[in-house]
Amino acid sequence: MTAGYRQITVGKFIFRVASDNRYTEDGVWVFEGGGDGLFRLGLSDFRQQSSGDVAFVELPAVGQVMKAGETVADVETIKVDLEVTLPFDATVVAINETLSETPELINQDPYGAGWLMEVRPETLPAPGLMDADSYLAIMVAQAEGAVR
Amino acid sequence: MNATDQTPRRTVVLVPCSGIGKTYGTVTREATYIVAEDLRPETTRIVPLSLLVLGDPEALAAVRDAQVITLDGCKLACATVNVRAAGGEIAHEYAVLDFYRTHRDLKPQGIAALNERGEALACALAEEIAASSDALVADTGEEVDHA
Repeated sequence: MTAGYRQITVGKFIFRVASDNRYTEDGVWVFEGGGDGLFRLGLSDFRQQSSGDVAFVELPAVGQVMKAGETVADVETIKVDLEVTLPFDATVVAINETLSETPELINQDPYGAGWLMEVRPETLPAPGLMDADSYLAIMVAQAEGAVR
Repeated sequence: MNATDQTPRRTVVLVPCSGIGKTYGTVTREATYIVAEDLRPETTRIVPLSLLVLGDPEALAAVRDAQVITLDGCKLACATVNVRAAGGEIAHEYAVLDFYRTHRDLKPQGIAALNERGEALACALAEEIAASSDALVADTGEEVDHA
């Protein structure tokens, strides 16, 4: 799914950023791989590590139309309750149903088996996303602030 | 009296997470106290994880000579890992996160003091641990009156 990872150490933590994905500032990754206009998305390695072990995941119904900024998923961890939002309008076309039984996949494989859902953006190119290098710079600043 | 004398085989040793400042770690400790002080004081005893980590001879002997139940607050599973490292035989491992997934209405919050639901989660976990310890004691063939 991805050509590789950028990896960086902040304090005692190691974070990976999947090179082929695009990102929101708050650590949602988006992968447009199939050329069919569908985007798969999930939580970045930094977002999942800083949030802690996942207890429950609430995903939207397939077919649901989401507006930019709306909560598309609720992720409850041992530390926080995350509200996952998208920066663009989209329709949900698939969800990762395995997360209902094994939400820990988000921690174990955030860029792979821990994906959240697939969406079809209303417009292309989808706005509000940055490439891996840009996200890495923001993520490092966030991580350094968190470990300080 | 040595540690072996203090921890007869029918006594089940409880080793909870030492995660100070973490809600799920607090749940493990609260559940442990409920079992050892209220539900099964005759057949359980607590060994603090910190003593195992420090290599305290009595704590090491206690986990080597008794059946052990570990309670972990996160996936690092420090209680389980350190009991194994000490050569202890773990009869049951409990992870609060897994237990909470089966009791979603009891979301724990708080650190120094748990919220009401967290206390209820700890009580529910304690009941399960007490039942596990009863089964372990029963396997030794000894009878214990919990009344």
